Order: sequence, then structure tokens, then C-alpha cells
Amino acid sequence: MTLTALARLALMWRERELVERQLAESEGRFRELFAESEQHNDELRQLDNLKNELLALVSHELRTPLTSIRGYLELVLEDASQTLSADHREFLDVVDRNSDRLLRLVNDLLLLARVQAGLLEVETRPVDVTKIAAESVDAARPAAGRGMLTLSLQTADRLVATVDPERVAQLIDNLLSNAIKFTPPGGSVDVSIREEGASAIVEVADTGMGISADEQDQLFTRFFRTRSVTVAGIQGTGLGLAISKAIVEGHGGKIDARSVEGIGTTFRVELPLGAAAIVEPVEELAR
Amino acid sequence: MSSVNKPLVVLADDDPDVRMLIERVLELEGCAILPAGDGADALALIRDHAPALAVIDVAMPVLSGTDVAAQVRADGSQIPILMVSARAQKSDVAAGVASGADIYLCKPFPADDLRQSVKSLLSGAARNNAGT
Repeated sequence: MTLTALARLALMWRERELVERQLAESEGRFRELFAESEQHNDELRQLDNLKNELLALVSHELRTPLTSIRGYLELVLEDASQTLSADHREFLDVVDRNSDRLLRLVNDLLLLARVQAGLLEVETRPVDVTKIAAESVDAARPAAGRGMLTLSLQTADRLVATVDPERVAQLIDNLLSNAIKFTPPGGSVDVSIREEGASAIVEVADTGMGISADEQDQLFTRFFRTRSVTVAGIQGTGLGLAISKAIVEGHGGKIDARSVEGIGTTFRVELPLGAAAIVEPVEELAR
Repeated sequence: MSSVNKPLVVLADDDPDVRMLIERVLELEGCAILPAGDGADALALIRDHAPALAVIDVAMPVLSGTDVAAQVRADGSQIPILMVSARAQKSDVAAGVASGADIYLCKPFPADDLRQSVKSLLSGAARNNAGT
């Protein structure tokens, strides 16, 4: 081998050593970064667990004193309804209503917090949605009667969808309760259930106070209540629609509202008939 | 053994107000109550007195309600267990039932739910006794 060739070989060998050293350094750096990100993931998991434990603790702590409040009040009203004066009876009814409100608020807040933490438990199975709607409508008849409203239900004989029956019942109850609350006497609330393509469509339409165009955007946000509702002094937590939206989206569905102020509102819910759709990769859709 | 007339019920809850509430409702239903303020007391009472029914809160000091239920079942006892708790998620109910509860009531509960649950668990026991 010539001197030049040997020199070139030595140079290449040196270059190779340098490159190998650089590679080793990069690898070391990569391992460091990986370890850091693993640690961050661990910390995030711990924070998540702490948050969930806090949720459980808060719910428990709030419900325990409410147990005594509701329980003893129930005993008094059962035992003493004959001996209470009309005034005292009325005062205790107020306590009853408000402790019930408090309990609902605690439940609603906890539900929303769990939704935010990704913990909404939606257990689906095939159920006849028309039956759920019929039960909700029946349960709402007394309130509709008191509000002097007509209440109607239009459905097919049977519509089976894979949903969580308790959550869907809660959803329809929420929408019905709003419709009844926000519709003045002489008005009407109409519920309809039908099948459209791969979805079950639930609509709750009222002839109530309606929602102004500028407020419709915020309708499903927590604690939001329209100006007219607040002015009219109608009680509520402002959580019902946020919860309804969470339930609908937990099923992979959609909810929206059409409304004209002073005329009425229709809430439209789309629930997938089958199990909640899995998002298709883009390439699949392009075919 | 529970007396023929008044079924013996071990009642465990660390909140004295809730304990008194449940005690009151159950006494009106004709039960004789043995109260406990923590899980260890509850387990001892159940082992010593073989009650007709155990009503136990989940969140208690020393031993939790689910621990007590698990121990009772590990003892081989088939005593009906009514578990009560302010933890009301489906996973909490599942954990309670898995530990040995026959019925799981979420607080706050209407007095009637308590009455119905107790009646159904006691009459189930009566059927078992009649069979032996």
C-alpha cells in the first residue's frame, strides 16, 4: 500500500472515530430526554390520580351532611305532619326544596367534574329509546300540568339504539325540564323520536321564551343562563345543558338548538344507533 | 341467633348523626340495633352476635365497610349485608358488591329505600332459616 493510501485510510479511520463519538453523544442525549419525558408522564399520572381522589372526596364530604339534613327532615315531615302548624309545615317545605336543590347541584357539579376528568361512565347496551322517552314524558306530566302546558310525544313503535339508558333518560329529563320551565302557561312542549340514517334523532320543541341569537353560542357552557331567564327569576343551576352535551358527546352524538326569542326553541339530539363511532383514519375515508 | 320477634341488626357508621338516623328508621321497623362507630367494632359485633343483618357504611376509620364485608365473607358467614355510602359512582357500587354487600344504597337515600332494602334482606334471611 502506498503512503498516500495509508494516510487516507488513517484519515478515514479518524473521521469514523469522530462520527462514532458524536453518535454516542446523541444517543446519550436522547436517552436523557426520554427519561425526562417518562418522569413528566409519571408526574402527570400522579396529578391525574390526585384530581380524581379529590373529586371522590369532595363528593363524599358534601353528600354526607346532606344525608342527615334530608333524612331528619323526612322523619319530621312523616311523623309530625298532623301536629305542625301550617306556617311550620310551609317553612319545612322550603327547607326540603332547598336541600333538594343543594343535592342536585352537588350531583351535577360532580358529574361535570368527572366529565372534564374523562371519567364519565357511559355503559351502553341495546335499548328501545322510545320507551325511555315515554317514561320521561310521563314523569314530566305533573310539572307540565302545573305549568298549564300541553305535552306530547311522537315516536315510532320501537327504536333500538346502543346507549346508556340511565344517561339518555337523564338527558331527556333535562331537556323536558328546561322546556317546561321556560314556556309560559298555554304553551306546548312536543317530544319526537325518529330514525335518520345511522342515528336516533330526539327533538324537544317548546313554544317558550326562546334564546336570543347572541346567546345561542354560549348555551351549552357551564352555569350559563340567558338574560330573560334570569330576569324572569326562574330558578336553576345553569348546568343542565352542559351535562346534556356531555352525555350526548359521551355517546359520540351531537346536540344543537334552534330558537327564536319569544317564539320557542327546539333542541335536536343525534345519537348513533350502533356503538359510538370510532374515528376513521384519513386514508380510509379518502378511498 | 336473632330473637324471634326483634331481628338483631349491627349498624356501623362513623357519622353519629347518620347512625342515629338509620337507627331511628330501623327501630320503627321493629329491629333491635347494635351500633358501631368504626369498622373494627363492627366486625367484632358481627362475629360475637351473629346478627340477622349488618348495615355498614363504607368510609369508616380502622376498617372500611368493604374490608368488614370481605372479612365477614372470608369467615364463611352468609349474613345479609346492606352497604351504605356517599360514594355513588358505578365503580364504588361494584366494589361494594364484590366485597360481599347484598345491597348498596347511595347516600342520601329516601327513608323508604332503606326500609324496603332492610325488609327484603330480612325476609330473605327468614326464608333461609325456615329452610334449615
